[in-house]
This record gives sequence, C-alpha cells and structure tokens, in this order.
Amino acid sequence: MSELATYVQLGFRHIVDVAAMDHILFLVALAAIYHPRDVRQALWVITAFTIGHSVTLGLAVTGVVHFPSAVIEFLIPVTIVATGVENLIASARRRAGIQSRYRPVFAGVFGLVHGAGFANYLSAMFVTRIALPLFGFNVGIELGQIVILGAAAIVLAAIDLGIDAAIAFSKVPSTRWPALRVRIVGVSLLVVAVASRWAVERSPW
Amino acid sequence: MVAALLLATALAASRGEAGGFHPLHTTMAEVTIDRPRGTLRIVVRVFADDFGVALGAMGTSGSWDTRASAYVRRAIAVVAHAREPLAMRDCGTRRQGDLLWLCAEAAIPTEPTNRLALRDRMLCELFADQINVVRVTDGAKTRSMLYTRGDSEKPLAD
Repeated sequence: MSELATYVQLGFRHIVDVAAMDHILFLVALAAIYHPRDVRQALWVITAFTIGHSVTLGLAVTGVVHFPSAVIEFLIPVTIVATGVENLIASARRRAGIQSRYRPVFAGVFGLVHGAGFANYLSAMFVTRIALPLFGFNVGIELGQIVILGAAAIVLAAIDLGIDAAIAFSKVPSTRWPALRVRIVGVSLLVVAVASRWAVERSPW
Repeated sequence: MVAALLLATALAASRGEAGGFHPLHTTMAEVTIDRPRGTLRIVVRVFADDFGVALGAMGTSGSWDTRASAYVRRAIAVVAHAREPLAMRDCGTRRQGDLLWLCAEAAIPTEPTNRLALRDRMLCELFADQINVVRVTDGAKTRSMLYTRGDSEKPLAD
C-alpha cells in the first residue's frame, strides 16, 4: 500500500469509528436541517468543516500553535450544542422565507475547534514527515464524513417518512407542522441534550 | 411520550466512553531493512500513557525496561520464510514529551529474504479501534501498511 493510501485509511477509520460519537453527532447536527434535494448545500457545509479542521491540524502539526486539550475537549460539545440551537433558529427563519447563507462559515469556524481536538495527537505522531501524512489523513476524514452524511441522509429520510405517516394518522394539518420542521426540531433537541451532557462532563472548571 | 423515551435513550447512550473525548489510538513504526548488514530495525512511536497501561496489564514483574522489551517482542514479530519469528533484541528507548520511541532489532537470514513478514499488535489488546501504521524502507523502496486488531503477519516486500 502507498503511504498516502495508508494515511487516507487512518483518517477514514478514525472518523467512521463508533467511538467518534462527538464528530458523528456534529455531522448529524449539521445534516439535520437539510432536505435530500439540498445535498449540494450539505456537501459545501461539510467541506467548510473539513477546511476548518485542516487549518488547525496544519498549525498544530507544524508546531505553530499548541492547543490546551482540556479546553478543546469542552469546546467540541459546545459547538454541537450551538449547531443544534442554530438549526432551530434557521428552521424558524426558513419558515419566514429567510435563507441562511452563513452556515458554511460557522461550520468552518467550528471545524477549527474539532481539528484542534486531534491536533495534539497528530502533532506528536507526525514528527518525521508532515505534509503527506497530514494530507492523507484529511482526505480520509473528508471521505469518512461523506459516508456519515450519506448514512445520516438515509436515516433522516426514514424519520421524515415516519413523521409523515404520524401526521396523516393524527389528522393534524401538515401545513402547521410539516415533516421537515418536526424532524429538525426533534433531532436538534436530541443533539442539544446529548452534547450538553458531554459539555458538563468535560468542563475544565 | 415517544419524545421523552427518545431523549432518555439518547442521554443513556451518551454516558460512559462515548461521552469522553475521542482519542486517536495509533502507533507509528519505521522498519528499516539493511540487507548488506543483514539486519532489520524497528522504531515504534507510541504514546507513553497508553504504553504504561499496556505494561501494567501484562502483570509481570521486573524493571520497566525489561517489561517494555518483553511487551514489544510479544506484540511485534518478524517472520522469515513463514517459519518461527526472528529473535528480536532491544536497541534502546527514548522519551520525547508524551511519546516513547522503542527500538528493536533482528538479524535477517542471508539468503534471499523476500518472504519476510511482520506482525504488529501493539496495544491492540487494549483498544478495539487501535490502528498501527508501519512504514518499511528496504533499500530504495518504501511501502506502508496498516494493522488493526486481529491482523496477522503481512509481507514486508511485494
């Protein structure tokens, strides 16, 4: 196997691992707001997230900055909570006919925080050669995120079907609470609840 | 009611290890095959805290160096021609920050050695998500390999 393929695989396995629940939950929170037809927007947001964490990874591995682990571990669930809350706000804005164009920007900013999460590990490991391992690792992370996004889209579509069926059964007018809005609110509240717990557990203060 | 059940399930699932930070469980090994000298050298970079846990779990007595060497010999093996593992000898340990550099060396057979194979089970008994990266330099050729829990020997040359 080539060295590049090795590090692509390392990054991919790292992000799709079930232990990576913080990253997976963040991706689910990002994806929760999108309809299946919005796949291009979702990919832009995920790519912005990748660019964000690539920047912090690069800075840490090259020794430009060192991030305090305890603070970063706390900030990661905070970004997930913030994304869940933003979903609720964006959903309300969308109902009012206002489109959210800033989502890739904050995904990129939050990506800076998530990148710092494993930057300290990689800066310790990638000591002899940096460029190729770092590039391969990031490509693997991006591929893993696309896989997670695809899986999340399938699960969210199934949730939509379930909500549609429930609305039809309950005879509540679907214009008042459309399936997408119910899904966004439900998934976002769950994400906020779980990530809030992590934030409390990891609080350095 | 359904929402409350989902919330309770999500909170229960968020307990324990999943709620902790997601570390990167990996080691990096550089294997250098020096055919003119008939030696193979492995330098493994491993996080000191993880390695300390692994040594503690071995349950053997002796000095740190003795136990570290024994662990490396047990976790890493070089096999020639699909026979018994080659005898490995310790060639030093260095600590740099959170990282340990562990060195082991073996004499390789003088006959054509294109059937050398390597096993790397460093820390695999501790972490289900352990990934060990190995970079092999054999003269002008280099190649890389990944080892995860359950992997057996992999050839060092094509």
